[in-house]
Amino acid sequence: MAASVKCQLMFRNVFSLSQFRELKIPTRCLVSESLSSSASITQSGDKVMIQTESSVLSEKVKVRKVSKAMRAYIERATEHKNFMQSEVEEFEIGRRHLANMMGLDADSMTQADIDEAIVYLFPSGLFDKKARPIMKHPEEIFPKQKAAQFGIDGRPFDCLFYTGSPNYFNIITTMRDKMQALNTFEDSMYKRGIVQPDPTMKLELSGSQWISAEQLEKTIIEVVNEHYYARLVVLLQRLVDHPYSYKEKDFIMTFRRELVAVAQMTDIPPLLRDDNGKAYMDGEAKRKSAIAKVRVQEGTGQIWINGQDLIGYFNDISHLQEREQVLLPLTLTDKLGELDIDARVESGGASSQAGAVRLAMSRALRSFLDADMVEKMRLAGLLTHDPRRKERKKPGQEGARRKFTWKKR
Amino acid sequence: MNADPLFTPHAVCRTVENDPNKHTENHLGLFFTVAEEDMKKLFGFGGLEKHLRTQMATFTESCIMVRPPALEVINYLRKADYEKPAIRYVLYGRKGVGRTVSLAHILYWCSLQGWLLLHVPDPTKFTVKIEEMQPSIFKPGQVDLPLTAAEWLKRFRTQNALFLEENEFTASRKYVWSKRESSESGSPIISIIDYGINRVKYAADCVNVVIREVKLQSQNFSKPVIVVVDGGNQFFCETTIKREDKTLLPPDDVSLVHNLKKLFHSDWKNGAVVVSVDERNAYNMQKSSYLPRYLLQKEGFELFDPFVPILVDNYTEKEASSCLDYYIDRMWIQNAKARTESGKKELMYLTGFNPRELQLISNAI
Repeated sequence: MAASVKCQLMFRNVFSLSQFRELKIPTRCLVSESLSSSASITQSGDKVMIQTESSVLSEKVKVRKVSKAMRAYIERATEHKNFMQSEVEEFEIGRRHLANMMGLDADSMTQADIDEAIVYLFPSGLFDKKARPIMKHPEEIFPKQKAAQFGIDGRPFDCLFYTGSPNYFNIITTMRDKMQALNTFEDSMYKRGIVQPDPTMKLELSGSQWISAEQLEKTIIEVVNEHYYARLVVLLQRLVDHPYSYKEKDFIMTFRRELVAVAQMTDIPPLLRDDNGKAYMDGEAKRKSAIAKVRVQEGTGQIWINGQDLIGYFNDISHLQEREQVLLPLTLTDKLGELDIDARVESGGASSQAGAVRLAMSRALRSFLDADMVEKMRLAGLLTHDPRRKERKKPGQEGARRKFTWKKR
Repeated sequence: MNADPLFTPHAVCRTVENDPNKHTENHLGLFFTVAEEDMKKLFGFGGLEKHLRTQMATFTESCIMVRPPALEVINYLRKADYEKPAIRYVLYGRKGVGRTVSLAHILYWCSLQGWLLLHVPDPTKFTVKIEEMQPSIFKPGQVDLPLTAAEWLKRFRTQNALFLEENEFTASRKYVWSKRESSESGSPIISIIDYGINRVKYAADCVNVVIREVKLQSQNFSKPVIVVVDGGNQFFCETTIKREDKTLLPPDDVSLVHNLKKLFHSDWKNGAVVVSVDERNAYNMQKSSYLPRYLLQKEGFELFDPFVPILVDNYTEKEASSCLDYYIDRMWIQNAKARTESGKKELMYLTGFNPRELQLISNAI
């Protein structure tokens, strides 16, 4: 018996394993399905009663003795399932109450409406957005758990269960199968005389990046360590590099996430017009304790800070850096002689004020520019708030980092 | 390689016309060259700031930009009626904006026209940075500055060598220096000047005599007299000269100042007074402004009123571009980016079009 099993295992490595499982990403291991749809299970003490729908056995009730581990496992799985059900019910009831309170139609209420209502009903001053009150569908809040991995008989559903991460290894072996299929396809194309694949069919992967380790963990509901993740990416890349990889586009794209330009994510306010019809925009910013309010207007390139000229305000040649900082957004975007700047800044020292004016100006400047220029500014760091503050002095040290002079004796 | 400066790529900033008399609006923003001998003659004893002289030495040429304030004053000087009392011109402007250089330009024009020049390049030497002091021989209570006076006489002599040769300028009366020494009436002024240079003890008195004679005889000269003072508001500020009892000397108690101020009046003919007012001379003022009323103070303003105020302002974009072209032409600006149009624009805005700031930054690039 043992020998034959061993033989079987040996053969497993040689032949394709496809006959032992399905080709797509295994769904049996994911949450959606319950333990066993075709049987109902009840539990009493040590014994578990199984009643199948099989008409042949309808009269008989099978009584089996299961191990404690098995029982605990089933308990946990059913508990989770019931818990989720109750949570979903509560959520639905809550949703209806909310619709009632807000005067909305419960059926056409979207998640955005719910979020708006929560913000209105529970205003929060907390800085961390994740700490504020939320109301979302339980499936989005509670971490997914795997459904039962093995049946009553203790035999796991997935043949790779004992690897510890069946979903992960299923992906790997799926890829191996696909690779093999693509190679066979390539060979067949060679035989037909087609050496190169059609270049227009090549897989276009710019604008997206590989799924991150965290996202992968969420998808397969298994812990993925860095080596496993690196391995996966390498193998996916190998698949992509195959000349006929376009055939497996769907499979590959499940592991790609689109890159969204950060600049497009924030709304840029449109230009305002003053009484004379000149376009202008206001911007505000802080740096350390300096607060700056800047108005950028169409004009001839005059720069006023607190009513003074640029070189009048940053008087000395030793303030060259401050002047450079204030001019940087304009030099970068080539708008030096085209825009007037009127800045009011208070508090802080010369450098902080210059930094605040720079950020406020950059924010106001966005309205005058196209998306490419805004992206250029963002990459230059002009649109990022500088959160640095003076570091606290610690006891036992002379300063924040400086230690007292070390004396040997 | 000594390329002809007029044909280098950045030579757009230059003009061939080196005669200030022929400069017109077409020459605005362009650099003209002052001949070496003229430079030595006019400014050998001061008159241009040290950093500018060093720059001229480095570039082995003395170039000045033609700018509106200088052209305006030269135009007025050309057209003024010298039968009428002397007109006072006051050049004012913020720090580093080019008043001294404008004065130098005006002085150069006047010297080429053959006028008599009374040049005071550094009034602080009279009131604040004094070298040596002695009680006045002629007027008790006043104070003489012999070394400064001797230097002034040397300068006067060098600048006006041609004028003194061509014109008859003689003493109107006898001046007695001491028991044994005196200058007779009718003796040429140049002998008095030489006497003052040799006998430093009496130099201040000689200066005062020269000033007096100029004022008396100005209407008889064939050419007008020009008084150029760079930082004239210094004469209305407190001095830092201490008497023995530790009190500060008022500026009028310095004999040279007292007599020079007499030239600021408009009670003499065939002359003009061009004065610049400088914030830096306002030593004892708390919050300074660059405007003439503030800097001349009550006494000075009443003395000068009415005068012609000439604003000297920062460079225009064209002038700034020309200035940077000149520096690039002289290989002074080394940074490759600074030599491009966008680089020049950045420099202009960084320095706020201020001439001095532009110079300082160009020194570093």
